[in-house]
Amino acid sequence: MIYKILNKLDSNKPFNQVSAHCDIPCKIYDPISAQLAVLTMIRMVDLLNELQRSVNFHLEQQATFNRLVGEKEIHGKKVKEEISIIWGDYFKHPQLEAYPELHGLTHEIMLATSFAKQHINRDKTVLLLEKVNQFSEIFWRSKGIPVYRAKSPYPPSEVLVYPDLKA
Amino acid sequence: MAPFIPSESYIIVAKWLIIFPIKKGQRLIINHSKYGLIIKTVAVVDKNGFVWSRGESKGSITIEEIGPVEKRQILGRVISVFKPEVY
Repeated sequence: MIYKILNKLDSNKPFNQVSAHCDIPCKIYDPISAQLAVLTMIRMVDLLNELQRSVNFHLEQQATFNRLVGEKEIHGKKVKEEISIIWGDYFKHPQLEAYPELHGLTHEIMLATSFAKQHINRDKTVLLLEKVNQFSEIFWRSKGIPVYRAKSPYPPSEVLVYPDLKA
Repeated sequence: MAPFIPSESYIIVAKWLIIFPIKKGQRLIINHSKYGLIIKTVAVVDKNGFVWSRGESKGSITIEEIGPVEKRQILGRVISVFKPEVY
């Protein structure tokens, strides 16, 4: 009630404004960063599996192996960070009520990302992508924007959820 | 994690409270030369009397970026926060 009174006063005679959370409340959120991070993890798994099939595993292959594992790890952390930011900062009470599965899905993504980081397992990483796609779909639907699914035009050519901005 | 002071919140600020010593954990309104009017939480008051402050969010500007703030830049202390209903 006090908020409503203050809001009424503010609309009649605007108060001074100060910046707090984030300092730049840019309102720019997009799950594509998380989706691309999972795509990168899948690509790293594919390249690691190719490396495993190499007859020789000399110093150069060892260096490549380290780099691929390192990149998979970095992008795994990125998935968790991007999903956490949207879940914690973008979604508000009305959207959480409209999509009650969101909390459970976010937790599943965290667990699936940990597994994908710890292992070189393509099937499980693709399963992670599907969960992140579901998250993306909820995000766009919460904005009233329809979505469609299409294969990414670059390796590993997996299906991503995209917003249909022309609709 | 929801921000402590979300967007569209109203805050009550007491200007007179700054006559008392500034302590760690207090939320202050700062008139910053670069960032303008900002709310920050006191991290430390150094031996020269400068106030080093931090934001509450991972996305906040850092203590180093804010830099030391003089007492004359502090406009008041936050005593109440009224958040919009969705919080």
